[in-house]
Amino acid sequence: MKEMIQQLKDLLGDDFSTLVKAYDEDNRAILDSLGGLIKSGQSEEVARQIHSLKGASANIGAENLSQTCQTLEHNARAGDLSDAPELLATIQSQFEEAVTLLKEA
Amino acid sequence: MKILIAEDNATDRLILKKLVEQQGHEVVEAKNGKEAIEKYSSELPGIVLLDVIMPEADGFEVAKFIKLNYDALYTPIIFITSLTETEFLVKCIESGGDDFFTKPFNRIVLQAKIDAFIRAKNLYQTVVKQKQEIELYSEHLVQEQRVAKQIFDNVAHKGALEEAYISYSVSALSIFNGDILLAAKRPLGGVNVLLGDFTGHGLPASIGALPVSDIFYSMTTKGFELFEIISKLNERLHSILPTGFFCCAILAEIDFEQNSLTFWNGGLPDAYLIKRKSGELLELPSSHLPLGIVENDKYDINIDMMAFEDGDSIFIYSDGVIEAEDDRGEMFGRDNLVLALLNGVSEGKSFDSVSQAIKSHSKGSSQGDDITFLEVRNHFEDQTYSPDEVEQVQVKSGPSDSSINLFLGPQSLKSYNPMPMLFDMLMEIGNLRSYRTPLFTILTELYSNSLEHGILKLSSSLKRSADGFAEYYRLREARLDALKDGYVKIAISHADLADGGMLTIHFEDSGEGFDYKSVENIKDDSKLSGRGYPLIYKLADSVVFDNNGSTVTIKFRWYSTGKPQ
Repeated sequence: MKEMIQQLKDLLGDDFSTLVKAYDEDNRAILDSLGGLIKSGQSEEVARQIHSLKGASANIGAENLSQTCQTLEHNARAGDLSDAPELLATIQSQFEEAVTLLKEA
Repeated sequence: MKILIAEDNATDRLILKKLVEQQGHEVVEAKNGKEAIEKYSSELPGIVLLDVIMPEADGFEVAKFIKLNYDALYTPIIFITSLTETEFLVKCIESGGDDFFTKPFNRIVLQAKIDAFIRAKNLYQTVVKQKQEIELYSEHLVQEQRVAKQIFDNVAHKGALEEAYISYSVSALSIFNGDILLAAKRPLGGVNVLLGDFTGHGLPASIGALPVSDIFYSMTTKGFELFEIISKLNERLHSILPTGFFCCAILAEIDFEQNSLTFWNGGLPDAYLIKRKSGELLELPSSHLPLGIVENDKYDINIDMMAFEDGDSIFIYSDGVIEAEDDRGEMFGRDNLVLALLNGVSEGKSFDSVSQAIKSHSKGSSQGDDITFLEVRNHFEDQTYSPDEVEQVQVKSGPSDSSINLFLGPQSLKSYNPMPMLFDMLMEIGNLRSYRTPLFTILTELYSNSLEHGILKLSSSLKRSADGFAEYYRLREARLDALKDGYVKIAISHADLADGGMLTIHFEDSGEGFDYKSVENIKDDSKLSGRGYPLIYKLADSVVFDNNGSTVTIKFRWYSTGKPQ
């Protein structure tokens, strides 16, 4: 992930901080909403939201996070939310790691 | 190039924007589908990078909108996606997508895709521009041809083609295939026809049609002989047509009163003289060079004269007829043509028979645009000599107080026809134009009488049989060729009168005269018909012979309205 972050810094220059801010805030909002969506069983909306997080995470090089998102999205699309709370917990901690790495960079 | 990025996730949008800008393109951003549609419509970007899952109209809707409303702009749409299910990809293509770009973004892949689409788009625009240019040229050409055809239709009008004794087939655009078909009545009865086939196609092939038509109609109307018309046509075409361009042609003069056919074929397929009585077809092959190839002094204008009896007809065609193809590319051919002609002979319906044969042959084939053919049938022509009645015209107009004295020596008699010149001038006087037929008849009869009987000593009794007729013209040519002495003097004067005028026409020749008393004696015989002096007695106001008949003076009275007051 560090390698990707360096590439992004080169690409974005001064806008890198904007990227960090946008990634942190937008996706934190998604994660905040996901708990409720899982509880109320809205699998389709879960898939939709996690799809967005998955793409953005892939683009900043957070491969593990993107992978976990993919699993949740896949299950949610199939209407299966049984593992969703555990996956969400994993995603939340991986997200915090990613944000920390971005902010340190 | 201006590129629209429609992506709801700010992280992805920012990265993509930077990647695209890094490659030197201008970026227009949209955060959702609705904004994408608005930005597309106002900015008209060259390429669209489109996220699929977006709020406010998804990527499919945006793609459909663009393809529906701006299809002609050919805007490549690249879907941004991390979805890989086949069903989903199919939906992207169906909604108008051209390609995919997957997350995580790869700079090299993006650059390759954008560059490829720019190349394709440029190519597309070049093709569209060329297509528009071609359409414009094509439209222009069609317009020009339409205008050209109008001009040709005016000049190469139908003339006498609509007469009941003529049947013809010619396509509307035949002029652009180089075919030209003309027919004009001769001032003394009978008809001249011309079928020409210029080398080549399109406008170059049709340019020559203008002078041909012009010369043919004006010279026929002025009473020029067929060989004079051919000579003029050849001279003009030789001077205007570039090397390698020429005109194959048939010219024919048919005299329904003398039952004769004068025929000339320069390079066209054999024409056919159809003898209905015997059921025979006589071939009339080409025996001359086409028009426009060599200069007149190297040009042979020998004309064939033959009998054209009651029931006879002449069939003339251009090679499009025998070259007409059926759906297998098989040509109609000369054998089929002759067969069709023979099938129709007994009923006098050769033309219809040929028409039908060609039609059934070329059925299912789009060919047949340059098929031109014509049949002229013998018929009884009732020549009317009465003048046209007109509103009052000015009496003393044109050269009304003039006189002409013309002396024609042997050389002039051999090579010059004075009739058109005299006729041209007389037509300018008062209302004489209304009297063109009787006047022309009188002048022509007087001249041929002086030349053929007075000087060349030909006997008109020869003309009574078909064979004698040909013999008459053979002798005429031979004796004219050998002529060393002799002359014809023509004196014409005009006097104005209150309600018209009086022409005095005087002919004198160096011949020995003839037994004019026998003509005078029968002048009151009402059964008189045919040509020669009996006709002149009928048309003129007075006929006075002198010098044993080698001098004759005619008075011809005309009225300003075409009839006595």
